[in-house]
Amino acid sequence: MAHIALPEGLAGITSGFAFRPETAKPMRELAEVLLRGPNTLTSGEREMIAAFVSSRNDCHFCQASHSAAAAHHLSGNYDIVEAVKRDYESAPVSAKLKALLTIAGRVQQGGKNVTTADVDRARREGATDTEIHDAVLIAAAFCMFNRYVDGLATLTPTDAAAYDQMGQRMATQGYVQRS
Amino acid sequence: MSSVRNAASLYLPGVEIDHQPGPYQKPIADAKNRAAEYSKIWDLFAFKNEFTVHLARFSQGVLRLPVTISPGVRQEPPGHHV
Repeated sequence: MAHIALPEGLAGITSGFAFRPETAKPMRELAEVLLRGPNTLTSGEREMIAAFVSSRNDCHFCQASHSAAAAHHLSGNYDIVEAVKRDYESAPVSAKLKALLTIAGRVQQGGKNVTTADVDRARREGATDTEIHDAVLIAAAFCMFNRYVDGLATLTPTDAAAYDQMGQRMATQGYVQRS
Repeated sequence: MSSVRNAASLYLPGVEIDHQPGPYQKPIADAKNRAAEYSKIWDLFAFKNEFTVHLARFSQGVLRLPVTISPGVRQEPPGHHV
């Protein structure tokens, strides 16, 4: 049960969004530009960073929904996403993404944990400053989203099929509500 | 003498030098022309205006929109409450 009287029947972050539309709009728009805007990292890669950070933060709603979104960007391949969350260094993803996930993992623990060695590794694997910047911002933003969702004890579905549907919508329609 | 603590360079020089048109471009240029220090978060805000605009709207919504908690209390850092 949520800590405050959030709208009934809405899960996770959508209940907070409905409760406070003033802050929902920029949060939705930020998610849209971070995860779906023009970028040299694919939406699948960016969604994997979001799912990975959310998993490390133990935010079930965010990690499950963004895992599903990542999988739908990857032609429904959940195996890669699960492998990234379990042990990204052995997952079948690029060396560049592994380096960016290392940085994202450091940010999840605390911004000052990012080291020059982490950044040097990302550069060696071909990451640009823009890609490193974006990985850091995605990780930082999801730490905030995760704490928002869990700090209010929002409704967290347990049915994997519900997240699959959510992820499909997120991947195909995005995060901004069209009127 | 400046009261601003020396700010270290960012570890992303490509971010530090690439100030896009937007609200932070001129203040950074002015500070540099005066050889004055400025908060390095301005470099981040100036780097990708398409991100910054949403962060700014979010901050405005959280910190400035009318609610029963005053803007002053909302800005107060954690731990300052007695």
